[in-house]
Amino acid sequence: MRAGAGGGVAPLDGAALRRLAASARAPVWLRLRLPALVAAGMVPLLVPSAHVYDLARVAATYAVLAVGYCIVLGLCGQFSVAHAALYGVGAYTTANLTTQHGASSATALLAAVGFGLLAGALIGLPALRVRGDQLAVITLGIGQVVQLLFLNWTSVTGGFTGISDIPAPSLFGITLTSYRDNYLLAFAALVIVVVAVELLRRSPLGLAFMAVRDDELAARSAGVRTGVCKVSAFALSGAVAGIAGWLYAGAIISISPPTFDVVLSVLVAVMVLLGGQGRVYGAVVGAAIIATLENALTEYPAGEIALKGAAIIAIVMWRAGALRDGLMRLRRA
Amino acid sequence: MHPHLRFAATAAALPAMTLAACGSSTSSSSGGGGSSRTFTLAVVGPMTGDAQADGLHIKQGADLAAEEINNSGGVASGPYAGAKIVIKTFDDTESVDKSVSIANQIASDDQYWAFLGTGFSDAAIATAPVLDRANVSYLSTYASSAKIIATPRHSVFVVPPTFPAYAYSAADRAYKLGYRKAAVLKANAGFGLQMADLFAEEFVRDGGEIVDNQPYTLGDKNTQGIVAHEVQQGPDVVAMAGLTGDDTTQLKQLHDIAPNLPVIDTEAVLFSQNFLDLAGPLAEVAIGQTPSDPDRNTSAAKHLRDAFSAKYGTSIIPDPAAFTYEGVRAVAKALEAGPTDRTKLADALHNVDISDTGVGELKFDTGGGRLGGILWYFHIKGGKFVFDTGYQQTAPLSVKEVPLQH
Repeated sequence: MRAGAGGGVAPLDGAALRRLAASARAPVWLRLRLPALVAAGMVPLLVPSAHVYDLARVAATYAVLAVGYCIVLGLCGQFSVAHAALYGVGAYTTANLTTQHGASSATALLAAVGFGLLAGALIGLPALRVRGDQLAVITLGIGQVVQLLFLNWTSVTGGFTGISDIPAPSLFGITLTSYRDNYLLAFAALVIVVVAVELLRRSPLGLAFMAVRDDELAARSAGVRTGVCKVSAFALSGAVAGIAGWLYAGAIISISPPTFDVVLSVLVAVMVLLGGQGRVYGAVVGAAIIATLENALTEYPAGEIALKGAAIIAIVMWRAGALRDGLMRLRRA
Repeated sequence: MHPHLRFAATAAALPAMTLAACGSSTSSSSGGGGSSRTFTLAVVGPMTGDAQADGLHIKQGADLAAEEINNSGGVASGPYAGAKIVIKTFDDTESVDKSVSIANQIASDDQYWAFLGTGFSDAAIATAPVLDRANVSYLSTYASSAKIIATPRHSVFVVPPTFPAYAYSAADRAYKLGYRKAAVLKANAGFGLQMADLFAEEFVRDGGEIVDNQPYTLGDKNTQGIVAHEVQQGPDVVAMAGLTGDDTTQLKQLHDIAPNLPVIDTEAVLFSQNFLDLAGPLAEVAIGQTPSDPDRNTSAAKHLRDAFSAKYGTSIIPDPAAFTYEGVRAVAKALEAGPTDRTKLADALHNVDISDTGVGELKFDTGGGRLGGILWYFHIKGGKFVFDTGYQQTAPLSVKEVPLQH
């Protein structure tokens, strides 16, 4: 039974019953997408090769980074080109604390998340005043400044050479040294981050993010504190980038400034756009595609440069709307 | 297609795509025994970019050694007698993170038995722990910072003499030539800073004075101001701690304001036809060092010189080529001991002792440093290298002058 248009109680028709039944079930992402992701994540275990595990680890780490970026671009609609810097903050925090201060992996993880959150909030501050391409240019500048900091704050970051001998991640007394372990750790982190972002997306804060993305003026008129939303999106995105940086530093053993350049930020944006702006699982797919392409092009630096160039062109086209139109035309065809 | 089905299909297809991408690597690992077996070595260096000459030289040395070994029947003895050496080249674009990324790929791919190269020490310092942790033998065949082996690592070897040998011998040589006031021009990178510090330390210990010590950004061509500042301090020699391209640029800038001021190279980057071509007559003020004296009179040295000349058309064997040649020879020698897999190769490398590779004797101390490496000093006259003396590394922090072996 349900309330009718006239205020009375109307009988349920078939379509309404189906809608009601659907709403009573677990949401689609929980029923279909998450199990599909977990199933896909188990595939590398069927081919016990260090090389496969390492590639899958890179893909999972990129996916964590991209899903984090989904918060700021996909959910909140803020175009930032400083995400690689946040990734770097997580990685350098981990590297510095574990190699120079003897911190445990768990402590380093907490610190990476904390510093990522803080750095994200700081990078998000300009979003209070500017938007769109202007915000992109400002975050581009901030990203460059952070990279220069990595390069020149030698006592903390190791400067040009970076930091080497970063210990393998260790959690609950278990040190994860093998390629398989590092992959499983990255994949577990990815699943946790995906669930967290899906929950965020359905939370009041997530809905407010999307309101800001869709129509900032309307959102403000409806009482949404848009400034708080934007900075929160950057901060949460930074925290997730901190986790990705922690995963990266523990697995790669040596880190140095060039990794965290603006090109990586552009690649992360492409990962998100490849999967469809705002689609968390799409970002995972986008990350896997980019990681696989990067790996395949290792022996062909010209191809790698071409990939990065194509990513930059794709972003420019996306900003101009040309990419969206082209994709829509392709879909229609 | 329904969006949910589309995602599920993509999720299923992606791992398959990933595995396909890996397939080409995993399926080509060495197999079999005896003469049909191959051992693949990853040779890594800057094959593109500002330092591509170094990368080319690394590749030249590796290719020459592999060709010689394979043409003479492969691995000489032991269970792998007759097995061939395969060289696979990677371009690290002179970037630390790219070197590390390649090292991780090599470490995770058992088709590669060893990793040789990288262009400069920052990359080598970052790469060494990655390979050591995976028990993959790493032979640094150009980079030679003592920091590469400062932490004892069983699988890491430095084929050239280490930084102190270069910097101390340069300081000793400059002092012996009568120079008392040195200005130092150093690349703002780990190798440049370390080398400059070591040079200054030894030069002052010898009794000289460092009148200026200026950093510049690696690869920056606009160093006129820095160069002018150095000249204003009144040095009688300028010590350079950078790469060939930078040194050449600064040589030209020095020539504009102090035409006859001598320069001494601390990085052994000047011994190449490339430098002579780039610097032209300006090279005449340069004093440099190299491990391969072209007039060294031993049968192995003559053989190497002839082979290099036949293959590449010059008897000037640049340092990266000489050391990478030695590195491949060392791996082939180690394989004669029959290591059962690549993680055992390092044990065999520690026991390698080649009396003369053509460059000199090659054996490593327990820490992976080269024992007894010699650097030959030259000046340039009429567009030719003229050799004067040698300095041998007798301990990690000591060198002694030795006579030429002509």
